[in-house]
Amino acid sequence: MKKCKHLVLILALVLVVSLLAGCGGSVSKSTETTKKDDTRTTEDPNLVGNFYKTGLPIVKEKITLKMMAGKPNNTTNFDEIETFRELEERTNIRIEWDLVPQQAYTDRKGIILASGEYPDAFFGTAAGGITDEEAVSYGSQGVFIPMESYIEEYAVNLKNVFAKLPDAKRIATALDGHIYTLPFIQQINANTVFTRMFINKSWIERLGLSLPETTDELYQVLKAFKERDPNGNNKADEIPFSFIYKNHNMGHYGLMGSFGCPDTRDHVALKDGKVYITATTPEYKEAVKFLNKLYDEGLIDSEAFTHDSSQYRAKGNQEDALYGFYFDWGGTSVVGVERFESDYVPLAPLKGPKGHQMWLVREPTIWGGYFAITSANKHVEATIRWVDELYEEKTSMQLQYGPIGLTLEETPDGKIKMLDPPDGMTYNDFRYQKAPAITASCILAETFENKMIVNETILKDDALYQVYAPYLLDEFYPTASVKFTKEENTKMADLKTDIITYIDNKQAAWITGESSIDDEWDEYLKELEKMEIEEMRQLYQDVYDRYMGK
Amino acid sequence: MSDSDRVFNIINNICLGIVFILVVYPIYFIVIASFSDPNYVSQGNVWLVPMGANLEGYKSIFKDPVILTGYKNSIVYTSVGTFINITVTILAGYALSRKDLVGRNAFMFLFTFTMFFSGGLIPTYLVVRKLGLINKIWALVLPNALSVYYLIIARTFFISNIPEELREAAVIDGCTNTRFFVSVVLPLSKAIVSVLSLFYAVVHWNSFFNAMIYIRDEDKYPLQFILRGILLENEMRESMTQTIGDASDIQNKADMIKYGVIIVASLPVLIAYPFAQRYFIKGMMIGSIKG
Repeated sequence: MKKCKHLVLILALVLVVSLLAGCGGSVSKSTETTKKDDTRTTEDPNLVGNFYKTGLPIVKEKITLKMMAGKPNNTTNFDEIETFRELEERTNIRIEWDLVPQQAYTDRKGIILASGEYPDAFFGTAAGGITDEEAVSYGSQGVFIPMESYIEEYAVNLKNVFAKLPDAKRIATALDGHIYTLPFIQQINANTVFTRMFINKSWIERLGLSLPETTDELYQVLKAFKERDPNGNNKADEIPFSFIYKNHNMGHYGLMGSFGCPDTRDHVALKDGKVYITATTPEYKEAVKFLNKLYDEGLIDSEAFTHDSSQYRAKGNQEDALYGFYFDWGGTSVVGVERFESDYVPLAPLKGPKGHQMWLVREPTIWGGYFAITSANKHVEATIRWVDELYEEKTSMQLQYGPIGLTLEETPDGKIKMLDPPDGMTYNDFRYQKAPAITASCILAETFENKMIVNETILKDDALYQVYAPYLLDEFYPTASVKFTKEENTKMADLKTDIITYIDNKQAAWITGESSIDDEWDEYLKELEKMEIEEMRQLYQDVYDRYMGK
Repeated sequence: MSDSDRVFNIINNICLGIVFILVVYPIYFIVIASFSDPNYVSQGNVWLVPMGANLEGYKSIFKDPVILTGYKNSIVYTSVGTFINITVTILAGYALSRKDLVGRNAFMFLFTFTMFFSGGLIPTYLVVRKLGLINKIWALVLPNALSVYYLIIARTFFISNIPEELREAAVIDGCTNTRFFVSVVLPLSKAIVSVLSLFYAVVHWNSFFNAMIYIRDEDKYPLQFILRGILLENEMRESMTQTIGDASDIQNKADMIKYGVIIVASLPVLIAYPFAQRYFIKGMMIGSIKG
């Protein structure tokens, strides 16, 4: 009985205390709002409280925002980056960085999002950003603030970007119609080519051949590579053709285009706005048959289906050159810079037996998830105006390519020139040292063209691009940009796991001659039907239509 | 020795030999790989002797300021951390071994309770954050200052090795509790102290997760965290090439120092082990034999 009394007493006390606390909160809140109203009557109509609606600086009295960002391993502390220092002077907003090492970024972001103690904003960098999934789930919970109305009202630069690049707005907008995160945009030509193929020109010259232009000529050249000891070590150790099966950049997908089959890792393509699965077309069959012929005659690396990228590179870096023909993004990573420059050249898309000649396009570099404002932020308007400053042309350049005076240089005619790295330093190390590199910012193609002078590294990339540019497909499926709902995602994952595995295993078996494609083709199509491939296609189509706003 | 014994021995030796090779070969491989040309290693040509032997890997390890600072940090974290661990564990273990401690069972229950139910990652993070330990060495050494498992080992050791009679004799001679602990108990507990030190030190030396969660500044990273970064760089690079093109140099550097860093990072533990080993058998048996 006595115990009971005590309990009642304690409960009552708790109640009183919580009531008091509640009161205290509401009282201070109401005084705050009245304070705000008071300042609204100051003379400058542009000034609301401490905040300027337009122009610079953004706030009258300095405010500090806390932002969390992943620090790329080769970048200095953000406090030492001139671009941010200058931004602080310009906007009167100081950023207090909570920098997280690159390799800890994902874990730490998860903990902070789950802990409920948010920074004012998440600032994406080359070390990572916010995923689509996080944007939607934390956005709908109110952790991330929908920015579209603020953007409409305050973000001049961003609105300009969205007007010029409708894709950017599409990508930034989550499925529920809100903009929770802002995109990174870098419209550089070289980024739009999917993968490239490289051939050993020294071997071709030594053997008195010429660069192949058709798939048949490629076959002849590879055969000569195999039989005539082009590396001159009297050993038949040449690997005429190598790639990494199922690899995005180092896979053989580019070659399939010569047969009219723009195959990718997802085996999905687009024609006249209609989605189709490449792996069920007759063109695909032809392409696989051709690869089977190469494999049969020992022209394809027997490890192409099993080796990983370090083994792939190791073979390219042996004392004697081994690779005749291989796939990569930049070329140098597989065989090393010196050998690449002396021996290898990019090979333009080959003409197939039916005259097809095409090359796969990579989705433009517009990535969502590089800036998000949280509910802990008390200066949302100011933050929007601050991040809008990042989209200002010159600021964007410096965020992506490093500060003017270090990695960039202003020319007398007002252009911005990218500098070459000093000897012994790679371009990435050079460029990353004082730039987050991948973050909420935008360089449009026209800016690259009209206002920037690119350096040698980019020029080389561009030269590679020019080889493929005339053959790039007009249409491609934007796998990374389209947005799936949670249910669609699960459904797609279910369908995809079985179907893609089956397709890839079959293709490998057919190329290596384990079984014959002619014998199994009909059965294969039937099997895919059973796996509901049509449903997968339709899902791709629906998602695409919604993304395009149809 | 009968025939069947002999057969048993032979089979036993063969089995143990196989197990020995299984355990030793990975270490041996890392040693030779650390001296080899990374190209040969990733091609799978290196398996018995180093190929293209060179010291380039080690040279760049010892030139890398980040690795050296990491090494220094790890040593500091390990020694400070282990010192705290041992102090807390031995004191608590001894107290809990005394039958005249009031509420002994209640304490023991509370301790063991945390063995099975912990607060979880995010509440722990919040506590550490509220205590203001983020980005400080204390975030790495104060949480988990006591491992309940080792506490039980220590307690069992004291119960079975420090007889009640010893204390009674000391008390009759006018010895206080503190004096008894310092002059009698501690000298008798060298075995348990050294074994637990090794256990705790290895845990500190190998831990990277807490640093990942709590440490922000580069010059405070422990070695294992940096090591992890180097080993993971391959994967990260792969995803990064898709944007920026070429980064072969990073790859080669990572390949070259990968194995060397593993050796360098495990060296202190390998060196410390033989010194603690003589106490090891003795210490390890604690808790398994009663009475």
